Amino acid sequence: MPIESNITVAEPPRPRPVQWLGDHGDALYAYALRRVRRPEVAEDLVQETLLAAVQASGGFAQRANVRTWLTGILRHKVADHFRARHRGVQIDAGTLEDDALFDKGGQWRAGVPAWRGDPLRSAEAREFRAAVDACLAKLPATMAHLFLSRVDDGATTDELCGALGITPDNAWTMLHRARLRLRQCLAVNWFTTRPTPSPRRRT
Amino acid sequence: MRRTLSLLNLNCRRASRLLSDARERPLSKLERFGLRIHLLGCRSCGRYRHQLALLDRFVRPAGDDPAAAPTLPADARGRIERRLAEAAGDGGTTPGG
Repeated sequence: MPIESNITVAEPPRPRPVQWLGDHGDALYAYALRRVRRPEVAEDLVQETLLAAVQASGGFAQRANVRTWLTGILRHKVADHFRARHRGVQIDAGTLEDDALFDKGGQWRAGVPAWRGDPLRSAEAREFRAAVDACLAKLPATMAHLFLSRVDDGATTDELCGALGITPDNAWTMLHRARLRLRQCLAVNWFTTRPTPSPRRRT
Repeated sequence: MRRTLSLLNLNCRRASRLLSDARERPLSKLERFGLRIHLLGCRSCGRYRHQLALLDRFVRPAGDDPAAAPTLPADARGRIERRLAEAAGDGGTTPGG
């Protein structure tokens, strides 16, 4: 009994760059834009990432998760971008304006009021995320990148220092400044202006 | 000695730095001790510590809300697609050309 020959033989998975663009382009772009902030730079980084992926696609067959793999390549591209920016330039860790948060004796000038409720689980979650992004955007770009690498990518101190060519103390100072500023920004722009509905509020 | 004394008598400015560092490196015994003493008497720094943990959560992007994320502009998408097609055409697996 003759076997019809239109049964396709299973081929090893071939890289499908255009499909990667379709499936993951937006996610890669969102990641890059959050880091580098300028759309044209983010677009270039996405392109470089996909081109590098085509070159490296020999190793692709073993990759279980294309998104993770591509994001890993993009992460390196973003790190290269910041390293090139700061070659030979002292990174501004920010000083004076943060000192305004404390008085002469080193106490919090305005205290640290409690943050009530969980804005991420409230009906305003989307607006809250926009407020967080706006606060991140007020940080110097490298400081924001460092903080996001640490918190969002889970980079270690060694990785942060290697990627930017800075000392651990420098990295910790910048992370500290980033936290002071982000907390302050959210306190002012969200938590004091939008009290989450709570039955009792002292006036 | 001076350093030891200052660690045992932290102000909020120094405590806030240690609370950030604690998320990056193991603190020394003395630092931990000084911080504990400061936190006993300072509710603001206690709240600051809690808010640092919240910040980590707040800045993670919304994986569950793709509609809120920016999308690759159409013209850039077209441009990248053309570049990928070129790269696949000349640099790919086939020799020669």
